[in-house]
Amino acid sequence: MAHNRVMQWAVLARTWWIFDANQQCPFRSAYRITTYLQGLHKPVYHRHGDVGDHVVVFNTKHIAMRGDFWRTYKHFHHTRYAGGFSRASAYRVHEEDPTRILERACHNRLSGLDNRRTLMKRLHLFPDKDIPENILENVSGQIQQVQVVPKKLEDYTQEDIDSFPQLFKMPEDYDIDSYKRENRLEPDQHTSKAWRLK
Amino acid sequence: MAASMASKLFRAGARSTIRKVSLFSNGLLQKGPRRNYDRHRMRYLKEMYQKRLDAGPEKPRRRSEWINWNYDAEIYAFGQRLGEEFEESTLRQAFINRSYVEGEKKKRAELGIDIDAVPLQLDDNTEFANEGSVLMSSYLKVYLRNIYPYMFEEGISAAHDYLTTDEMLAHISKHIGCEDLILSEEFPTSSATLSTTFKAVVGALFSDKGRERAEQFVRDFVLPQLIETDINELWQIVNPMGLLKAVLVLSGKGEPEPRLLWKSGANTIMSLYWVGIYSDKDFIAKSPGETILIAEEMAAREAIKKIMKTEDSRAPLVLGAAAENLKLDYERVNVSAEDIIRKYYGSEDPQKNTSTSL
Repeated sequence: MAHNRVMQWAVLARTWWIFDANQQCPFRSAYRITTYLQGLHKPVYHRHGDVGDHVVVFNTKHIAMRGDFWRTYKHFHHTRYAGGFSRASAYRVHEEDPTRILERACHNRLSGLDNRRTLMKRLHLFPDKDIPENILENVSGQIQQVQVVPKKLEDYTQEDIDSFPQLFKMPEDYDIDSYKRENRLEPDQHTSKAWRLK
Repeated sequence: MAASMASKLFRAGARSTIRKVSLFSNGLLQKGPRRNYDRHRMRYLKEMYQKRLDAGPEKPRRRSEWINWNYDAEIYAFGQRLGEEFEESTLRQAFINRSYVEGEKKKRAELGIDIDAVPLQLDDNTEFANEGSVLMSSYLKVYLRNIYPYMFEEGISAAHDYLTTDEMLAHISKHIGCEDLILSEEFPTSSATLSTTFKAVVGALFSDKGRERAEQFVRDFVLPQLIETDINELWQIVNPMGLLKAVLVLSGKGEPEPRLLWKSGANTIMSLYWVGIYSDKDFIAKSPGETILIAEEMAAREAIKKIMKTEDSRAPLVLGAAAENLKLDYERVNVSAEDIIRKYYGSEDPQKNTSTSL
């Protein structure tokens, strides 16, 4: 058996990578993930060569969007029938399918490629930490996250919060718990009526 | 004014037309595109094509059957092309095959000439071929042993056998232009005859110019055939791990320990495993494979390559001008893998032999 044969096998075998999307910007993550999907990180890369790797992404439910993007970033769709246009805010899309935003972000980054469908088939998205065992066994490398995961208020203990120095006193009637309630009073101006929350 | 100009032009045009027509009618001059359709040309070409098919392919002929053949000049040119100064008589003898001598005797007998009265002054190349063969064999082994001093004797023999097959020598012989010069009854020339002739050329050089020059000839024409071949592939090792174990233990090291270094896509059709071989916690070699077993076997082969110092990163063969000052040890014999295996596995308790070094 020739050693050249196994060396060639090692070069062309597809590596499986894992990416934790927790608190990551989907667009910058897509930039990094598609590099691996296309095989751009390999010295043997060529546009006409099929040397891309598999990428397993988990925690897509917990991606982070900067600014007001959850509300203002929109996904558009047209059924090609008259009046078939519809649009939906990112948060609405995310509620429907928590892997959709990252999937579309990767799909858009690969625009213009003939093999986009093939490459997208090598992207495995999971909304949370539950990854099937047979897929997890394939993984042999980790892709670095694009941004530092911030520490949330829930991650601090009550003791830490209480001991935090208070510089001024809140007014008596200040609504501290407002962020915990769902805001349904204001209609979503950025989503087509059919897709709005009822 | 304009009318007279026009009439002049018209007349000039008419004259030229008349002249053209007369030339065309003679068939002497044809200008511009053909305006006819040659109905018979295609039929003629088809006929010729069919005749060629019916006649079959051209019969292979000896080069000497053609008119512009000068055997004396070709014999001289053969030596000059290769940059060797043969004596003409020896070189001529090197190309005379046994079958040719027998054929000549037969022809004389048919003509009624008494062989004893008029002896046939022809000697065939058998003796030269034997001498050349012995010299070539011994030099190839000596050279390979000196270039790869740590390679097992079996590997050296395998490389030697690869270089001295009839096919290989026939290939060399054909490409230095022996084929046309061979005097033999058989045609087309078989690879055995071509091979014998090449050996005879080496033998002729040996008798003319001595051992050193003949060895240089072998180095220049036979050894370059190894350039694109992997010398490790020529020797088929059946149980690489067994050999590796014997070698390591007999040289006072620990037994080889394969470890899984890396794997990817374990549940897919394109699974990949990298297995490394360690001895006494020291890394020796590693190799990939599509299953763990294949990777382990390939890693053992890599380890043996490392022991033999014939890794993929080995230095190229010393040939050409660089080889002129090569100091070769003619008495050298490499370690035999068979001896090692007998020593290790043949004894009752393998651990007894651990102290003896290779």
